[in-house]
Amino acid sequence: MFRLLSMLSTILAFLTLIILTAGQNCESPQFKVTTYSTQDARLTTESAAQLEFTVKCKNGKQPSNLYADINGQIIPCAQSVSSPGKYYISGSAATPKQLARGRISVKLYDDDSYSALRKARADDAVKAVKPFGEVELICSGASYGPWLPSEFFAVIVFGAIWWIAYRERSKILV
Amino acid sequence: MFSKTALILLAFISVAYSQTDDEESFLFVTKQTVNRFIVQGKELTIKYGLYNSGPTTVFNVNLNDVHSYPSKYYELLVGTLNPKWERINAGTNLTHVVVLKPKESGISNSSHAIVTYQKSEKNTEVQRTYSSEIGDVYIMTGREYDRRFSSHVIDWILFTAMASPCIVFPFFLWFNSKRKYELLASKDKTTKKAQ
Repeated sequence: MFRLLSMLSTILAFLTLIILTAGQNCESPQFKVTTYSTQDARLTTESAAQLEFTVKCKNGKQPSNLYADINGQIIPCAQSVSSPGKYYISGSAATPKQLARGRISVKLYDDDSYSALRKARADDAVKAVKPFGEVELICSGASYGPWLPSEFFAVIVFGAIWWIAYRERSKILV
Repeated sequence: MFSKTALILLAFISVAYSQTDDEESFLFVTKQTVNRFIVQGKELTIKYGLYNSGPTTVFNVNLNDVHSYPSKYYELLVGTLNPKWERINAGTNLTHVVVLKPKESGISNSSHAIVTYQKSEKNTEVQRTYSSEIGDVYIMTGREYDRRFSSHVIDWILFTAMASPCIVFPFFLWFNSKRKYELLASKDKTTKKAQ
């Protein structure tokens, strides 16, 4: 009788633990993302990019910590003090080629998946860890200014006018 | 020679002691701008780099730089001037990017950002450190920047408009006289042929 009771209590404790942890996790998160990347490459020496996103969970909970996988390195996401619920991922690239026009996919991990990732040693195990979510960084590409400067066109136009005039003049003066 | 060896020995001892003195980490924060020029009305990108030197994790990192960029003089476009991180592991290098837009031109000074963190999860004693500062910067007006870097298309159009009387007026004179003489020449030819 006593043994049955203790077994039941351990099972109950185990179940409550599962329920508690399940309740803390964020189920099927939805991300709302705004991205920014440097637009004027003549004004800056390095290109910078930033992802700002908010997470909406089905059960209304907010993940306490999020980590992002950038170029193989896992870094924690910054959170805003003044407006909670906003997460930021920033990075800068010395060469504009690394932030070329296109989309870069960034994997996100929360506390649980991050600890699973840290425990995984082999490459396969690392890939097998399911990320919390994935967001996309949309780079518009930095511009270096117009392809041909306006002076080029001015030279062409005025050069053509001069050439026509010279041709007619040499016809007369001959 | 004896003093030299003594000095070297002393240096070794001091280095060894300073390394094993505290097992705590220290957070280095750098603040720099990636802009070549700072222009009024154009984006100013500030990059904060946080580096956790040392063997342990730091917790509850809070960076506050709101006082350097009051909203009266700077408009915040991207990012936040007050980010926080729950934990930064040992040896990690973090960047945080903020994009501002200066509203006024002239010389402006931005001071250090204040960073507070806890060295351990249980010890709530807050360690405060300061970032590097950018110092005095010159914010040039939009017109100065445009003079050097804009595409000048409007300037060229205006120039063409102003130069066109000098070109079009003689062109018409020449064109009219050419047409008159060609007409005369063709009339002469037809009269000569007729003769």
